[in-house]
Formats: sequence, C-alpha cells, structure tokens
Amino acid sequence: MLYAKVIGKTYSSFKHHALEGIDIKIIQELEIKTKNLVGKPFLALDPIGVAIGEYVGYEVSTQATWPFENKLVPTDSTITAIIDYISI
Amino acid sequence: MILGKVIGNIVTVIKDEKYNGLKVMIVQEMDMNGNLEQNYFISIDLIGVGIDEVVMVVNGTPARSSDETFDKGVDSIIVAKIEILIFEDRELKFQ
Repeated sequence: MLYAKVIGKTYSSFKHHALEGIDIKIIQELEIKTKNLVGKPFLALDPIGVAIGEYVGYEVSTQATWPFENKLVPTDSTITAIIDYISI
Repeated sequence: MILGKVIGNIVTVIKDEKYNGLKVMIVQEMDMNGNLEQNYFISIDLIGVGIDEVVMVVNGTPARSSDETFDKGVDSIIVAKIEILIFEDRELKFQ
C-alpha cells in the first residue's frame, strides 16, 4: 500500500458499467516522513468514500482490482484505507 | 489512472480475432490543469467516446480486468468520460 493525500475530485456521469456508483478522486503521493507531496497527481477509484484533504492508503497496478472480489473492475489505482495517524 | 484527451481514432483491417468489435482511439495525456503533455496512448474504447472528449485511461495489466477485455492482449483502455474536475479550488469543465 502507498500513501497519498486526496487533493481533488471529478464528476463523470458516463462511465464503464463496472464503475457505476464508485467515485473518482484526484490523489497525489505523499512522502511519509516530511508529509511533502511528491510526483504527479493522478486519478484513483474511491469505493470507500473519502473527503478532499484526507490522507489515504491506495493500491496500484493489478492489486488495485483485488478489493472488488468477484467483479471485474478495470482500475489501476484504488483507495483502500483512510489514515488517521502515523507514528515513525 | 490518468487523464487524457481523445485526439483521433485508428481504423484497422486485419486484427487478431480477439480484437473483433473493439474500437481503438488515440489518447494524449493531460495534466490536472488541463494542459496536454507529449505522451500518447493507443487505447481500446469501452464506452463509446468521441474525439476531443476528456477521458480516464487505465494502463497496464488491470486493463484486462473488464468483461470486454478479459484475457485479451490489451494494456490501455478508456473507462470513463470526465465532465468536471475539481482540483485545488479550481473547477474545470470539459464540454
């Protein structure tokens, strides 16, 4: 799992039938020690319902399809956790 | 997933049997401010989008994780048309 901050959202009323009812959020990867945003922002599926500004955990690549157990859902990044606090 | 703009389509005559019925589009990557980047993809269109529309593209192995592309040689698909993007207090509307 990787760590990111939710920085935006999108509206899309026309999408693949497997994505119906699932939000698409804009997230950017976070460096965990300094809390600096790194890399390019990108789109991620949000099956759990997070808000803008929250810190989240997400899965990339093939693992991103695993939260949807019995369904074929085309996604290469999926938000899977909300991070409350981190201690290093 | 990344954001992209559909800039063209591809018409092919001879295709692998598994590709029958799939529509092929050319997508140019777009950043979250709406600027186009010099990065292009040939993507399978699963939803039926038109040229100049802003779309979401899934790349890599997960592109095969859909009813239409399961077990086919596909690594880039268009899965959603993006209408509004809210990013850093700005709202971008596409079409």
